[in-house]
Amino acid sequence: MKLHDFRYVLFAAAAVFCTSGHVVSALAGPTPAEIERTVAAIRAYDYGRSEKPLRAVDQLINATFGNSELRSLLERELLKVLESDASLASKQFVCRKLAIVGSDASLPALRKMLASGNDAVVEIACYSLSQIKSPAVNGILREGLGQAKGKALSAIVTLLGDRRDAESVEAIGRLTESREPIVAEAAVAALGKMADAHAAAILARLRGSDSPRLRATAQHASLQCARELAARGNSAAAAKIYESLTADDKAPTHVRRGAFLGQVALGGPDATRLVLATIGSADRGLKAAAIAAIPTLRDPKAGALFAGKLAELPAAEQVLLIEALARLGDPAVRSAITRAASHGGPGVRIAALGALGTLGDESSVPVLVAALGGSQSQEGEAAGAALRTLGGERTDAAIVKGMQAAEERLRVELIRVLADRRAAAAVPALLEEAASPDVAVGEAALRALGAVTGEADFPAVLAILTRLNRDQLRPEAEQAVASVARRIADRSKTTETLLAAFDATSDVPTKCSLLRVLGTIADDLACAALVVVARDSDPQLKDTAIRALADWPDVRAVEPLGWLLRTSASKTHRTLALRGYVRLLAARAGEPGILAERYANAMAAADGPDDKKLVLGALAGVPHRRALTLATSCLNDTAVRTEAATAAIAIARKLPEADAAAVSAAMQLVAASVADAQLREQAKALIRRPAKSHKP
Amino acid sequence: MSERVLRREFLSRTVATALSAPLVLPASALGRAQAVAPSNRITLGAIGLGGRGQYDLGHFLVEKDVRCVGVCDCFADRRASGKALVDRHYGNQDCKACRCHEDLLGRGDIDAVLVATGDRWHAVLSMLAARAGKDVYTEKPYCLTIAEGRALVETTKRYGTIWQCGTQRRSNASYRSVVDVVRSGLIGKLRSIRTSFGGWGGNGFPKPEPEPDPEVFDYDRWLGQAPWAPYCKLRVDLWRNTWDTSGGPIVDMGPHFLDTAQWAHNSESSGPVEYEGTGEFPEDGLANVPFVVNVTARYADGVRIEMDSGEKAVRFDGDAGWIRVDDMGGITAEPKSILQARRAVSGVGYTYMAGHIRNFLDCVKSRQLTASHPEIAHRNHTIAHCANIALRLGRKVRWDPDHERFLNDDDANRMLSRTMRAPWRV
Repeated sequence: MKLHDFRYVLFAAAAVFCTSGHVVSALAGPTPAEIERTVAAIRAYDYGRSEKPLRAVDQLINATFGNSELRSLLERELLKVLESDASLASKQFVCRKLAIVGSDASLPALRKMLASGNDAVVEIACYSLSQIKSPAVNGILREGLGQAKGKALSAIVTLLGDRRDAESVEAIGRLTESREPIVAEAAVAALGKMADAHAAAILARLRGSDSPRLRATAQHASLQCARELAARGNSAAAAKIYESLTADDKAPTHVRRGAFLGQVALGGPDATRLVLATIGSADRGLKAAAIAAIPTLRDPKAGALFAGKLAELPAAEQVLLIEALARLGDPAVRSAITRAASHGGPGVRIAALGALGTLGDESSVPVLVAALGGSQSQEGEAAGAALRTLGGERTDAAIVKGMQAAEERLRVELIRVLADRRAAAAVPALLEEAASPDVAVGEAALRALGAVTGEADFPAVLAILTRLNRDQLRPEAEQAVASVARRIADRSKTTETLLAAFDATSDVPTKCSLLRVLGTIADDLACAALVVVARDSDPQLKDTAIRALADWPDVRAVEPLGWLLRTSASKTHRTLALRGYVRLLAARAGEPGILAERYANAMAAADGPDDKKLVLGALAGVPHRRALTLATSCLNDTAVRTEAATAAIAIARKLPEADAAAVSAAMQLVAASVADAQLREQAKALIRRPAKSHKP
Repeated sequence: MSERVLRREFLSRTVATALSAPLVLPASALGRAQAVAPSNRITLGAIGLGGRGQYDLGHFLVEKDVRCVGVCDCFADRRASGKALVDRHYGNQDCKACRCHEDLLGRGDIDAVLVATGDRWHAVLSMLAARAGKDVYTEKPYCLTIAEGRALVETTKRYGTIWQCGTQRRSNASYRSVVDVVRSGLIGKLRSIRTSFGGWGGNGFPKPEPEPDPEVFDYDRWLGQAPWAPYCKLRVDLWRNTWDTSGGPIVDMGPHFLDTAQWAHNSESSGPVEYEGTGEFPEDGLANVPFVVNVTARYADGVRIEMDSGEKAVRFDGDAGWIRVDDMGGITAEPKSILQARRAVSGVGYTYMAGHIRNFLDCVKSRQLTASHPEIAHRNHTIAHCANIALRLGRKVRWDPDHERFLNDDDANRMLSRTMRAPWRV
């Protein structure tokens, strides 16, 4: 993404746009007279002038698509401009359009342009000619070879190369000797694209030239020539060029690398042999490319072959080979990679452990587990990542086995791996680990159960919570039950199960846990249950239920919280209820008058400045006169005066013209009450003068 | 002209005598915190030091195994500030600044280049750099036509060049997790993808003005492959708004979000087969690209890609839900269980630039394909170009991704390529 500079939005804001589809339909089937008139208008165009006439021609082109008669007329009219004394800008535009609609009829005019001797004119003529398929184009370009010079000649040569014009190979071959380097270089490049036997022979000769410049450009063109030949099915000729370039130790590394990769791409057993030989050679310039080419080999024996060479290579190359073998994805390399993961040098071990993540299966688990439990953090990181992506049907079971045999720290890590793998097969083992005497293991197991288990496991996870005898694990156990419960489609059934568990136990901490879980289920039944318990005689149960209602996630709890607000004897509970009530009201879309009334109830129950500020903050979003009145009623309370003024101003700004009188009165009050100059100014600005009456 | 040719000659000479690249370990296997031996360093040159170029360069500089040794820009002030950025980082004055890319590409001591110029230069410079034996990280959009894009793919294959397109969302955890969600079927069967590229604007009438001193601003070099036009500051400032020098809003932001679309749809080597839409084009002035777009493309399997001018984002709709990732990596989805199921990361932001650059540097060493390698980039850019062609022609076009040709529409096929102003070519 780049930053855009819109400093020159001169008229964009007020611009009239045309929608392409609409214009086309409006112009469908233009008349000959319209075409003549529209095209004639572009004669007067020049740089910096209005481009409206150009846009009109664009639309004509689209409107005449499929109508050969009108297209011919359009082309003829464009050519009239081209042959007139119109500006270069106008002719450039015409040539761009001829690139779309031009035919043989355009060639005489474009031919004249090629002979103009003006670089810009020749180049824009080439722009048109490049899109006209007629073989006659090549003829006039060949003529141009004898007329143009410098940049213009270079443009013509390049275009002949792009058109793969075999008839110009001889002439372009001569231009490789041009004294103008720009022309000679274009000529050599064009030969690379033409890529017939004659062109290849000229390039072979140039590769042996005494001129370093010609030699270098010929090497580049030869690479292109070989690719063209290979694409046309002439692998033998391509291979000959590639072999010559690869063997040229004076050629730049990247040219030799390109030739080497070209040879490999030709395929077959020769490709495997070539890669193998290069990896085993001292050719440092090609080794990395050779190793990286392994995954492209279509040889079924390649994996085993290169894996067998792994131990013979220096450490740096082993790393590259391991990554290449991982991408090859052949299971035959697994044992070699596994061996490298435990016996290689540090970098090799990290690479091999990482590779096992894509190549490995259950047999890779022991080595990965050992690395995860080892002292090397980078190896542990690589092993952990690999264990999380490792394939294989029995892999989860193998990790479980490794986990059960591990000491506590490693066991925790492996439980986290199982959680990230969403390993359903690990549930029985995780249920066991949840009862581990080691708190860290128990916590990890409970978190994993929250991630891994489904509806079928719900009773077992719930049983952990209801039988829990260690408060340290209570938050994780509640979280696990809540996580599984949220994944069960039938919420009411889940709530009933939780309520049955609540009724079945007399243990207060367990009951409290279940109430907190019910708060996260958040359906009608759970809400009703919490309302009942909120009146319970047991203070701990009552407190837990009220807190769960105060944290309730949706508007279902508004009414119960309103009731608690009015009736609770506990200041703490009223504060909790107020906060939940205001939070849910603020999130609720509703009729502003009713909302204002509810905030008035909340304000009446508010115990201190903090609570009042909370209400005023939410009230500011209610566009109703009652809300304005409520806010201004708090102006007398010095502890919340600023908040009351701020809320009143915010409400006033949202009120309609019909409330102008009320707004003015309220703002006068605000302006008279507050010390803050900014608020005073804001209030004064909202005091509305009565509109003057207009006599008919 | 002769000066330029001499540089090209020099380039050929120095490349021919360049030493073989050392075989080095990728940082991923070394651990990034380790000190980097000089033999394991990648020497970098940066071409294009505008705002984006310096932003990218800053991310390269913090990589311990990178040593930037040269900067190049046709604007004198930009090359000076680029050099200052590099020198400040290393605490010396060693970075060489030059106006002409030939001087930078001709250096035998540079392994890789960052290309962050205007769009018309991205492919051309990438190909020249490949020819000079450099690996390349280039900003998007990397090509102005489909043919130019394909030529880049071919050139990098021809030299075994490591090339990364600056579609850095490829290396971002948020985007990856969204792709995971779609590919794993968590939103059900994928039905449509909406890509939104944001607003666009800016226009005026470029009256010819005296050309500046090339040492201060080399206009001819700035213009590059684009058809010749007289100098006007407005033309330079609004280069993104004309077809001659850019590709408009779809080609500008499209490569990011269309890349994600292709990735999630698992069609990175192919693309949609049909395009249709409308665009709001300025009625007059220099700007001739559409400011507002609304294009629908369709894959052969019926999945649609919508492209519009809404707030930058990509959204996938399936028959069991949807997921959306915005420009900054923030994720939203419905139902919410989708996010829980994949533990999707939200709000990662732009720090992920580093991951994309790291991937490039590792690949320079290992010679493996980059995350946004040429074929992937070409295919997502192709979607943007096909959409533009449909808009410019004002009709539905049908596309053959295998042969990279439009079906039964010669006008459209004539828009696949365009000649470049000499001496630039593909």
